[in-house]
Amino acid sequence: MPRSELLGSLEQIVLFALVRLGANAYGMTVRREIEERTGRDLSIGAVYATLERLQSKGYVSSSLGEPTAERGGRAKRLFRIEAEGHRALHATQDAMRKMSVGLKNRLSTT
Amino acid sequence: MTAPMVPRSAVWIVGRLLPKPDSDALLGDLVEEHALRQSSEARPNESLWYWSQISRSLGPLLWAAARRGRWLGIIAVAITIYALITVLESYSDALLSKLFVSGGIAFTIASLAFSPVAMGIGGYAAARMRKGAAALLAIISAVAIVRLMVLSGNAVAIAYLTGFLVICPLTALAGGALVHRRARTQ
Repeated sequence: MPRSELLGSLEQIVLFALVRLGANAYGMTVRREIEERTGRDLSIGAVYATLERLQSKGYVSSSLGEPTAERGGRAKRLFRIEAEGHRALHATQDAMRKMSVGLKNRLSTT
Repeated sequence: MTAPMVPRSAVWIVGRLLPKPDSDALLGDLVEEHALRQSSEARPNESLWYWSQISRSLGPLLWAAARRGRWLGIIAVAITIYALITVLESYSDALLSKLFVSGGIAFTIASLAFSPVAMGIGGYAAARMRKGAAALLAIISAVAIVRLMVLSGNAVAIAYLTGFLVICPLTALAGGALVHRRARTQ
């Protein structure tokens, strides 16, 4: 299996949001999904910058939607996780799992 | 429900940091979420949220723009053109002193006219090479003139430089605007 690059924490969170949102993944929904699930109030700029980085690595693709009135006539940029993104996410999760196996008691704070 | 208007300053800032379709998408996201939060009873006062998002987005977007090479290119173009204009100014003074009597009316008019004309041409060239470079050229020229004003400490020189402080950045911006106007009409 080719070695995929390990992802940063924000990259993982954003990719998980794309997986969860499916066809409805765009800047606002990604930001809100992350806020609702993790409590992290990311700026929309941080979400776009991360998505742009993931796109440059080939992990994410995007397309423009139709402009709508509730967005002031502006189109959505819809994002989709690609197979490479799935592989990188899996490789990162796998590495985290291997590193943390057997450490449950030692990592416990109580 | 009508969409709230995005402040022009926010549109300008985001437009400088992202390509057009992405800046539109980001601003659309902000408009959509802002409207959602405004209509929510749990969040009655969200007027600060919008500007908080814009200000907190500046860092990540600036970094992304630098990674993309967009800002590095803009900075390189603006500094190079400013340096060229400065070199040309020193040569023009030498040339003008050969053509006209140094300190005479013709020499003074030609010498005064050089900088704004050079800035206009420089702004045009900068905008042709990189979108936003003319604006940065205007900022660089304004900073350089203010620095000269502070260093001179002479009332006459300050009055003379105040004129340049207005005219030079404006001509650089006008040169840039000319490129954008031509692009829109084509």
